[in-house]
Amino acid sequence: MPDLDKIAERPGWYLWETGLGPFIMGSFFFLIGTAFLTVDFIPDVPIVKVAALFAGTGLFFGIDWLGRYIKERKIFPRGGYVEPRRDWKAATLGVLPVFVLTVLWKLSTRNPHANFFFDNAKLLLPGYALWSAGSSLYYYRKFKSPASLAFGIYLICFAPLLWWLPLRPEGRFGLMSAAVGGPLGVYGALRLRKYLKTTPVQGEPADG
Amino acid sequence: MDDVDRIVHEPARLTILALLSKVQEVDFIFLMRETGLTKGNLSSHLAKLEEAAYIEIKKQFRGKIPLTLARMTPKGRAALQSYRKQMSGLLRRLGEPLADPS
Repeated sequence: MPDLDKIAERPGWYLWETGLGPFIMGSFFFLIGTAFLTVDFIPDVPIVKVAALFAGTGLFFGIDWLGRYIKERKIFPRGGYVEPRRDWKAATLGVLPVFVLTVLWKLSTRNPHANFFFDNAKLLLPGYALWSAGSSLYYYRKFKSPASLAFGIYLICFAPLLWWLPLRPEGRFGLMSAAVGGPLGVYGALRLRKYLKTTPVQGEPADG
Repeated sequence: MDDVDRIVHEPARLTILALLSKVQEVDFIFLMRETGLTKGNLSSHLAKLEEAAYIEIKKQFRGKIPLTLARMTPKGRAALQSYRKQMSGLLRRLGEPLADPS
């Protein structure tokens, strides 16, 4: 009997394996991070800060458009078309803890401007980097991917630096996003390039 | 074993249903690539699944290129779930591990 769970996982990994998944995800993180870092470092001129955030947002949508374009024009003609099922339950479960923590933190500090994540950024963000490192090492163990091992080790080394650097919470968040997204985006771009070069465009058989 | 759904029990069709269980829809090329079946073989299995109303097939054109899209129906989803339950129960009764050791 075939391993049904393993087979059912295949469509979910499809875009990741082509390199498009890491490329888009890495680029998003890198752009968000760069926008926050820029805002943190530039002089305290509101218009410049707003311009930096608008530029970041514009590039964010640009990457989204590029991702759709590559998927529809380059990947689907090669590997086939897949429309994944919307998993609203998982998406809600992913967002809900962030929302609950933020609300609880605001209530406990009685400060309407309190932000659980930024107020505790010095500990939370290195912790998040270590958790991501753990995930990468788990994927290395599961799929024997040297890239996952390298990324895990990189994040383990990066976490203490993120804790130690004298940055404001926004800057720390920006640095973490950019440092995670940069290598991921480059890895995705290289993998995508290889996929497009090695996989020929396939036409559907006429009697298919 | 007599009440096992023979439409689902065939390995190639089981693979197709497992693939379709986690997506909204896929095209013929993706199924061919993932299942490793030839176009003729895949077409005949898809036809059988469609006949049993376990999947829906939609034929259209993207520009001038033919595009065959397949999606699972609620009946197909129920059939796959019931098959999994049956097989799990059977294997448990035989005292064998569920996971394939390879």
